[in-house]
Amino acid sequence: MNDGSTQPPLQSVSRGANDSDVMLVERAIAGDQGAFELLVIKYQRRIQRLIGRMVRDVDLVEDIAQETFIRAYRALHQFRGDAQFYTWLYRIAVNTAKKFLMEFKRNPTVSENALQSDDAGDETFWSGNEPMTDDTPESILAAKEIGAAVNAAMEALPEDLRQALILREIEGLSYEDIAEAMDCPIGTVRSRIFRAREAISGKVRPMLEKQTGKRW
Amino acid sequence: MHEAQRHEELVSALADGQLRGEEFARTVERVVRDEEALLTWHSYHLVGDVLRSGETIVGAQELAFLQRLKHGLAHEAPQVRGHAASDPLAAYPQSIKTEATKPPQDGAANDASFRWKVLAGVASMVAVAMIGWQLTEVQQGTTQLAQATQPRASPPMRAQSGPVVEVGSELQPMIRDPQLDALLAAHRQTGGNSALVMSAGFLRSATFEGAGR
Repeated sequence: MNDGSTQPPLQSVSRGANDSDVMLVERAIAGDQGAFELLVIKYQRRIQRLIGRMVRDVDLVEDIAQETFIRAYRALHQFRGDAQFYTWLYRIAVNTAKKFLMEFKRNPTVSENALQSDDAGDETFWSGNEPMTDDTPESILAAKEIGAAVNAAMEALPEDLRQALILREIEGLSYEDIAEAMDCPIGTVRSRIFRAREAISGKVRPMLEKQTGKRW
Repeated sequence: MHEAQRHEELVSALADGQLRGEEFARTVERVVRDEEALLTWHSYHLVGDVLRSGETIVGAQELAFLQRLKHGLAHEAPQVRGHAASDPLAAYPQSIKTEATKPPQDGAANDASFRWKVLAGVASMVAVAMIGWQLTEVQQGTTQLAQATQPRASPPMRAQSGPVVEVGSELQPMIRDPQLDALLAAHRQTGGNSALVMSAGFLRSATFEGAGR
């Protein structure tokens, strides 16, 4: 596990992930709302974390995140795919948060950099001391439990699976680059990453279901 | 490999953007329609977020967030590419309530200040128009006054004119007739001042009763 200071720059994320986002956007524009919901699930936490750095009132974080995604949905046709989808979404989130702050006369809180920066790559991750959405003792505990479970499962992985997942999730390498780094076929990389995810996800899912109280 | 595992591996590859064409379409369709596949998609991204950030925000609110968003999106439709531009900072949906989520106005984040600027601009224009109108009024008044006083302002008619003569009709009384003044001035130049104001008798007396004579 790494902290925010070692978070890879967004530029290092493989092009394939963005291509996938673009294809999901195309499907959403064509009328498949479910494709957009996949993007919401993918980026919801990052967007809420970003807004949580800008707004002290934790009750507003979810509302701003909601509006961010609704505005993004309305404006999907404007996304050209030139930039990463998250970069585009990031700008909408920042503008939405600024508008809320202006309308409700609330002061930006944690970091003015978050308000002033237009570079999605500058996103710093939650430090743990900053107010977050659902910042209740239960949610904090749940987050810590899930974090601990992920770390423990990661440590328990065989070396090849752990390395493949680290190269993918933390280093942001493409399957091709991972295959070259690990000197194995791309199919093997895909299988290793999947097995690593499954092993960790198997520990996390019961906790998610416990949190939600029901299945999706 | 079991069929379920194969499907989940496809979801994993989809999360990494490794699927294309028909495989991509089929997997997306499955994730969208199948709750189990959707949970897999969710957990994979959650694991990735945790690995990158250390901790993450998790819990029951994620499901509530998506359900609430679905409700909001039910009234929305993404614009077709190429249509008239739809501002990403457009109107706030009615579905999102509470005082904290009071629907904002259309426009960008600086709309509030922009509106104030527009208001200030309009007020400035009104003020300029008022000043201009007042200046016009004053100028018209000045012109009328000048026209009314123009005969008196005429130097050759005023300087050494004779007694004031009222000329004019009953409807438009004039204090002085400039034409008459001009005629009088011309006559004074040729005839001399005495011809106008002194009687002939006085001239004759001066001539004949002078001491030097």
